[in-house]
Amino acid sequence: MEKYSVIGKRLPRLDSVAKVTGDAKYAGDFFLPGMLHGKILRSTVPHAKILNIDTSRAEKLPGVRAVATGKDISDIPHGFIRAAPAPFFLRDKFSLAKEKVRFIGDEIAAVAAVDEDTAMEALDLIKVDYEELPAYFSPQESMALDAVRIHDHAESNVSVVISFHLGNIEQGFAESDFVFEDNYSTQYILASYIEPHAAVADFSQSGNVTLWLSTQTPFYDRTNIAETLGIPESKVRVIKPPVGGGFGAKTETHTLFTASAVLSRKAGRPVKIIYSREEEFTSTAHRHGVTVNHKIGVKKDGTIKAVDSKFFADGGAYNSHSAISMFIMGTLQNGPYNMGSFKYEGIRVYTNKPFAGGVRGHGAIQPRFVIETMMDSISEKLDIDPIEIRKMNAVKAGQTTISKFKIRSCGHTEALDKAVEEIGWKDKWRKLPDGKGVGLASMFFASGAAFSFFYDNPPSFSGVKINAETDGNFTLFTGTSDIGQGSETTLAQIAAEELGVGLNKISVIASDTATTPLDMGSYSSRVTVFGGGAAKIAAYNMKMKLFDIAADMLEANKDDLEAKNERIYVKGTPEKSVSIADTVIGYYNKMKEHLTSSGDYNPPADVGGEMRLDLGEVNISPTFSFGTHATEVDVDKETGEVKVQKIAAAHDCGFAINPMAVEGQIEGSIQMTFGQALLEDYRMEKGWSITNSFIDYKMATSEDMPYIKPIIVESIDSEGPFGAKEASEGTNVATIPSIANAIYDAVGIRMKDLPITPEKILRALEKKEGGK
Amino acid sequence: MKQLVELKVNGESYETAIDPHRTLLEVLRENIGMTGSKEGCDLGACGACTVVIDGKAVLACLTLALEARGKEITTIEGLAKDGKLHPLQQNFVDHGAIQCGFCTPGVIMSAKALLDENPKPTQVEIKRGISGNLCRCTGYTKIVEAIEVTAK
Ligand code: FES
Ligand code: FES
Repeated sequence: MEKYSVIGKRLPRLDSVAKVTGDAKYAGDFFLPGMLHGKILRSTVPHAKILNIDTSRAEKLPGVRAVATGKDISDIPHGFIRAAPAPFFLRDKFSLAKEKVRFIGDEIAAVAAVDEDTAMEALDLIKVDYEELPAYFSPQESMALDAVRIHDHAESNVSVVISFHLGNIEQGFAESDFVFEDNYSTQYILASYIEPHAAVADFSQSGNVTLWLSTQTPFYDRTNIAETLGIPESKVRVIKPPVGGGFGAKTETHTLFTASAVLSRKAGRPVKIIYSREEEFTSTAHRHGVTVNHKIGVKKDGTIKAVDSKFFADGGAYNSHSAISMFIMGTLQNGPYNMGSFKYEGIRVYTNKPFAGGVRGHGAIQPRFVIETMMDSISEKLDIDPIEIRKMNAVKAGQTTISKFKIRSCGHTEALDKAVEEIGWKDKWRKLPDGKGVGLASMFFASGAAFSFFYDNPPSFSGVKINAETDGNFTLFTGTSDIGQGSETTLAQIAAEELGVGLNKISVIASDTATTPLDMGSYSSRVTVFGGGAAKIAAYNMKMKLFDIAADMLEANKDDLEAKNERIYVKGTPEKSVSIADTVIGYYNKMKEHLTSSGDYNPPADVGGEMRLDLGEVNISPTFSFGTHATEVDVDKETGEVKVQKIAAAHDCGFAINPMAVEGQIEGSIQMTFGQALLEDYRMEKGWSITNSFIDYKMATSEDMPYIKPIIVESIDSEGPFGAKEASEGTNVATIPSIANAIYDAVGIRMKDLPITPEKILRALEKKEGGK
Repeated sequence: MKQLVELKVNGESYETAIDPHRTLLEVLRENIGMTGSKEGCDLGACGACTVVIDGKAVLACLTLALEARGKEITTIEGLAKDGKLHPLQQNFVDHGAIQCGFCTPGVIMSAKALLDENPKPTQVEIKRGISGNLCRCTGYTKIVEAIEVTAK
């Protein structure tokens, strides 16, 4: 008999019919009576003091109902980190500029009018007087001695420095037989969800405001909106309808969220703001571009003894996730290999560009590109098989790393073996004809951050409530945010399995700050372990309440009961059973109260703790995922064109609650990293974005994508619900270095600068030939 | 000056007064109340707004509503018949070809136009047929699979 009846199954998403029929209503699909259209006025200079904003002509334009500027919002800035000790806690962004603008696209004013055309016309009528300041478009420029400060608080325009030292690297390097040192760089890319940001705000005369937002973090938005408007949080209700992808960038409370509420308050009517695709490119959060200096010391036998790693990140104009981003770039180097000893310095610098924040694979993508490419060089130099060198240094289940990560389960070796087998490594590596090659790379990732970055005293990290209905159905309330990854279905599967009912018996009400329990949101790949963990506890608690009643009804001992097939049975006596629906009715008759349960997930005691991002010795997550990508490429030496033929992507997700969804995460996430490796590049000139549309910014289409073979590895974790771990960000962390390593196998050049364009390939080939 | 237009959408006629520069996408979403067609870029570069006009896949964000007068417009809302999903829709559901779902209406309409014209496309033809529809979530794998299964 199969162990499970609902989990481990390839079940369609709960919202799939709504999404194939056009029924699903996203934030931009809401039209309220009397609704106005809002637009944002953005800076046209990269760095300036605002001397004056004259909105009088705009206000007089017929059809304009409200104009807002920095004067209409409170003095509390926002940023992703709200609860952390100084110096990590620095929120530096106002929804509408107060005194300065810091990049082209920075928000200055907002207008609400009867239609979009009128709102646009009104923007042209607002006159802004600037006193322009010198502007800087690279960390080098903005750190120059004579540079003016972009923010008053930031000396040398440094936004944040995170550094830590684990073990003793002096000794580690002294004990090394070889030291490898190299420099790398990565580019700015965009999350590029297909749904642009949208907000509808309805501020009522009673002083309450309801918002429908395309967000990943409705509870954080609620706080930011309340603080910006200067009203109590209880007056703000944020509802997250279906969201058309977020990939990290929708964890920001971007200006439209607050501005729609400010305008609605002023106009006394609902206001909708939707960002244009151009605004998405110029003014929303990007992935940090970094330059890296990296040093690895190894013994002759391949054992890693020491790592010294320096990261310089271009942070753009505001802090956003800053300290977290820089922390992760360091700490997530401590796996899937033991590093012996480790030193890290991460410096994030303000520039006059759109700000960088968290994007899928946050902070793991950049160092992984560096480490896995260097592992390849090291294995070549030491003449050790690239698979072997990875295995010999690998962290193992049961181990605690020098960064204090507790490895509860680890499917790395299995993932590695399966990926290379799928790609045909034995017959291909170093054996394919010139121009063809295979490469591999491994990775690991956190299953959710075990810190509350935002709230000082949250009730829990994730809460779920369940109501029982008399027809045997259950309604599950969760604050988690399904942004397309399918988390509502995952939570429902977990609850259904625990309760012994089919998936069709669970309805989910999600992400409404007024009705669902608090959850931190969808980021750091936390939802399956945290939200799913809460769902399992809530369902278990519900089951126990049902068992109390059923034990009476069946005249049996509660401990002898089990729930399956929508009934409660006495184990071993199948003829003694009662339906769940009848048990619920029995509960009402006896208790005279509603039957509800709740569950809260908090990370175990050996995880998290004081949020000291400067120590680097802290167990950041309840558990970690592992994986390997093995990739085959063709490189055209004439044109420099790289064609990726296949990516075998093995991912250890602990237990696959829904294998179809896990495959979807693997396949989809690789579209982004395949793009970052070869295609995507956000480019600017003098602060102006020159990639403002999907025409200039090249994203992989169905014709560009290689064949992806997802391989699920199940290590059955002791902490995650039913053994599950994350499967949404870790799934793409190994793609870029696996492509770079395959290029090396094909044509013998090391690509250290992203994206890997045909020009760069040709230049490197020329250099290689010239050097011969 | 607003102009009165009559549009035939999913077999029914709708009469509405619009400014002549309004796109079909805007009129579908804002005047007719069909929000299934999505706006991802408003520039003809993402395919989220794809509808079928007289059998051809068309970008509604690049089409003036006035140009669509007198033509048969099919949107995602018109595919399911009598409470039964179109085979493409059913296969998208069953094969996990949907994640955030924002690209889905456009992809399905492109696929429908493709299959109506070429009922047995090769995988290469399928990929070409939806190459104007960007998807950031699925990597296209399961989308292509769902279309292939429908064509079988
Ligand atoms: S909205 Fe029409 S192609 Fe993007
Ligand atoms: S499913 Fe999200 S863009 Fe395609």
